[in-house]
Order: sequence, then C-alpha cells, then structure tokens
Amino acid sequence: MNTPKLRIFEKTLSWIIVIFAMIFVLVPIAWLVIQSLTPSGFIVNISLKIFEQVNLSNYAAVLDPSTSGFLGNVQNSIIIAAISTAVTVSLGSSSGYAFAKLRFRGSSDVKTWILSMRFFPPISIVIPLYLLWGSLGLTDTIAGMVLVYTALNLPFSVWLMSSFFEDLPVEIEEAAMVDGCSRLQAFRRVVMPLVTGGLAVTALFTFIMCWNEFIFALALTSDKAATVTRGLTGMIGMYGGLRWGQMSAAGVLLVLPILVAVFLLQRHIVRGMTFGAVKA
Amino acid sequence: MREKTKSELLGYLLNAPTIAMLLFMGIFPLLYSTYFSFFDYRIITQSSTFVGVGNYVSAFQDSIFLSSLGVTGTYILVALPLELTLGFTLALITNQMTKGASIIRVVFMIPLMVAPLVAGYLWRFMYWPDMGLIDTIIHRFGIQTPAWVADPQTALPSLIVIDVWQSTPFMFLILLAGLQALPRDPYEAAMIDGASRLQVLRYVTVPMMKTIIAVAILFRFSDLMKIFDQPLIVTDGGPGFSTYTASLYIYRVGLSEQFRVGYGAALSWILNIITMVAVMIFIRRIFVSREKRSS
Repeated sequence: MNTPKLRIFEKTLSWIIVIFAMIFVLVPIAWLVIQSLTPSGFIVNISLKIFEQVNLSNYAAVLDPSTSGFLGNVQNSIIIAAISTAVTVSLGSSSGYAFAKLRFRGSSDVKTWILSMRFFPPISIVIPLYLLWGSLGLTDTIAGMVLVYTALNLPFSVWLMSSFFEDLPVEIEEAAMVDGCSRLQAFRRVVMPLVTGGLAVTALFTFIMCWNEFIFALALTSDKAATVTRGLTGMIGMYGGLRWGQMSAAGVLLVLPILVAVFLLQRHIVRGMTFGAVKA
Repeated sequence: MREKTKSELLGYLLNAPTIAMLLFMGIFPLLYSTYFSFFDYRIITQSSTFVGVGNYVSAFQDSIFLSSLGVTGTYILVALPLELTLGFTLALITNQMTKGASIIRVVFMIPLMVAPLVAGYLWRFMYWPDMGLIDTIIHRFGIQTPAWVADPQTALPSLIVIDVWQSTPFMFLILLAGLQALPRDPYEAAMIDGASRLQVLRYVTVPMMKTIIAVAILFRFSDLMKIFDQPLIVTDGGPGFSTYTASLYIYRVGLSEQFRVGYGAALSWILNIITMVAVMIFIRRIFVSREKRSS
C-alpha cells in the first residue's frame, strides 16, 4: 500500500507545508527586528545593503530616560507582575491543594465557578472597576494593578496547581503522616518540595500574562503605574506620529524576556495554556 | 468522623482567600455593573438617570453594536475553524516526523508568547501601504494590492490573518501534545483490519482526540469573544465601523469618547450572557463530566 515513491512524496510534501508555516511565523518577527535596527525605521529597499546601516540608535532612544518613559514602564511592569505573581501563586497553590487533596462539600462546584470567572469577557469587569478604582483612589497605582492582575490570574493558578497536586500519589502524604508528621508538616516538608516544578511553571505563566496584559492597563493606568503595554500605546501620541524604528525596538524589548521564559517553559507550555486540562 | 470534618474545614479555609478575592474583584464589579446598566450614567456630564431596561432596548437598535457582534462572530466562525484545521494538519505532520519535531515546536511557541498588542503593531507595519513588507514584496512583481487594513473589503480578513498567525500555534501545540499521548494499540488494530490512512484519521484519531479538541476550542472561543488588542492597534475599528469587535465597541462607548458607562455596562452584559451560555455548556462537557468519570 505504501510504496517507497509515495512515502518520499509524502515526506517532501510534509516538509514543504512545515517550512511554509515556519516562514509565515518567523518573517513578521524578523521584520520587527530588522526595523528596530535601522535608523529610519522602515526599509524601502530590501537588499543586503540594509545590514550596512544597522545600528542601535532606536534602542538608545527608547531606553533614554530623558526622552522616553519606557524604562519607567518596564520598572512598573516588573514590580506589578512580580507582586501579582507571588500572591497569585500562594493563593492558587493553597486552593489547588484543597481541591486536589481534600474532600469537602461543594468542592467541584466551587472549582467550576472559579474556572468560569476566567471566561467573563474582561470588558465587563473593566467598566465597573474603572468607576470603583476612581472612587477608591486606586486608579493608576501599583496596588490597584496588583489587585487586578492577582484576581485575573487566580483561576488559572488554582487549576494549574491543582493539576500538579493531583499528580502526587496520596500515599506520599499518608506515609509522612504515619511517620508522625502533622498535615501541615507533611504539606511543607513532603508535598511542597515535590511540586516546585509546578510552582515555577505557574509563576512564569502568571508573570507573562501580567507582562502582556493590555485592556486593564489601558483603562486603569495612565502614567505613574503605566505598564509596558500601556507605555507602548502612549508612544504614538508622544512622538506625534508613528516612529517605526523606536516602536519596533520597544516591541523587541517587550518580547525578548518572554522568549527566554518560553525556552524555560517548553515542556509545560501545553499544560499551562489549558489550565492543566491537557497534561503533556 | 472527626477526621472528615477537619478536612472539610481545612478545605474551606484554604479556599477562603481565593474565594474572597474573586468575590471582591469579580462578582462585586459584575453586580455593580448590573446595577448601573439600568441608568443612563455618563461620566463626562456626571449625570445619571434611571432608564430601566432602556439601555438594553437601545442595544438591540444600535446598528454599530449589532455589527460589532457580527465582527466578533465572524472572527469565531472564520478564524477558529481555520486555526483548528491548520493546527491539526501541522500537528499530524509533526507527529509523524522522526527528527525536527522539537525545533518546529519551539518556533511555533514564539507567536503565542508575543503580547497581542505587539502582534498588532507588528502586523500594522507589515500591512503599511507601499512601505510595509507585504506591499514591498508584492509590488516588486508589478501586482497592485488593496489597501489591506484601510479598505473595508479587506480590513477584517487582514485582521483575521493576524489572529491566525498568533493563535494557530495554540491549536498546534495542544493537538500535538494530544496526538503524542495517544495509545498505540488502536492503530495497530486498525492496521491489521486494513484501514486506509483517512479511515484511521476519521475513526481512530479524531474520536480519541475529542476531549482535547473541545478544550482547545473552548479556550480559543472565549479568547475570540473578548478580542480587543489587535483590532484596536491595527484598525481602531475602522475603516468606518467595519472592524469594531464587540469588546472594542463597548470600550469606546463606555470608557472613551462618550464615556456612557451605563450603556457600556448594558452592552457588556449582553456579551457576557452570550459568552457564558456557550462556555458553561462546554465546561460541563469537558471538565465536569471528566471529573465524574475519574472519581
């Protein structure tokens, strides 16, 4: 049925499809990088000549605190994302542990409810929060954004951590408790060390989601607590038009740290994206 | 008995902070927005008059809102099947490869992790008339191009291409993971029975992948229901109102330009209800039924 000729044809076709897909994926990214490296910001003449005028002036301009607020935005984003991640992962792992290891009434209903919160279109929360944050004085503050991002990522963190706890056999904890550990001790000394990988994955994902988030940052921050994504939209107005080169440089800087995280996450990425529903 | 109540108590205790957080940041704002969705509440004029279901009635007479629901619907009806088909095809191919699979996986992870906002800018530059990469290349061959995102005919398809670029990898990675976890036995049985490749795909692979495909569709569906970043950056709803997605239009109405928060809240509730009905059906089928099976 499978003649060698057909096999070769299939293999070639497969590779052609895959290579086309890879080009489609990579060309826009490459274009962003090239634009960020050319002073004029856009290349009319695509030829090898563009490499003669490559320089880092766009990056210098974006990173210069006297002309651009980008570094301040980066600082805000790091602070907001780091605190949100710490809180989200703590709350998420305590809930996740309860769902995975304890039997209590209504457990599966509560867990489903938590998940369902993830699916509300954010616009329906943004509008009331805009008003609430205004009256509570939380608009454009780090604390306000930490609250938002913690709540936003909690469903994800609960479900993902719960899936990691479920992986642990019950016997491990039982053995520790037979040996005289209290439940809390067993949790701290035996269970937690076994899910450090899960904690790292949950934390990285949460951090990335905070870093990339846009609609809440747009509505609730403007200056003091403006995040990188908020800052990027501000660049249009600030330069009185599109500066391709500088915007591309900012875009590259925004994406670069995330790419590093992706390589670290590789093996867990599918699990993370599906809230632990698909264990790869 | 004592042990059981203790574990119950601990269960509630460990969940208390999460539940409190989600009540305060999720349920409370939603209730609040329900309340003022019955008012003609405008921030700019600081005026607020009770209009009952007036906002909801206006919503269904608001042709821009209805067309924005249509745009979001088009995203779901066009982008989602496209991403599913492309992602599944690539996953099937990659799954058969003896080498190179890991490189392909890593490359396809990149667009997923690019902030949707940056993806928007990136493609705005790509589509730029004359000087963007797409026009630069096509014009070399002396072929005329449409104005892409500035032409009402091509704006939405061009936006959908961006989403396909960014989210096909999501489908691909999930489906590939699913394929790699499939048991071998059914395939051997099918081979012995002399099933053709297409028959194997149709009667062995797809049925075994059902749950995973449903999970992938659920996540993409809910993400597309709220799509906002890319259309805002690339077209800002234009030209005309042709690419206003539901979220983008609600944002415009509620939190910029007009600042009619009451009306915006009402519109967002309509979007919520549509989303939640669809999502709950999905969740019931995927997550809850599976839990029952395993316990």
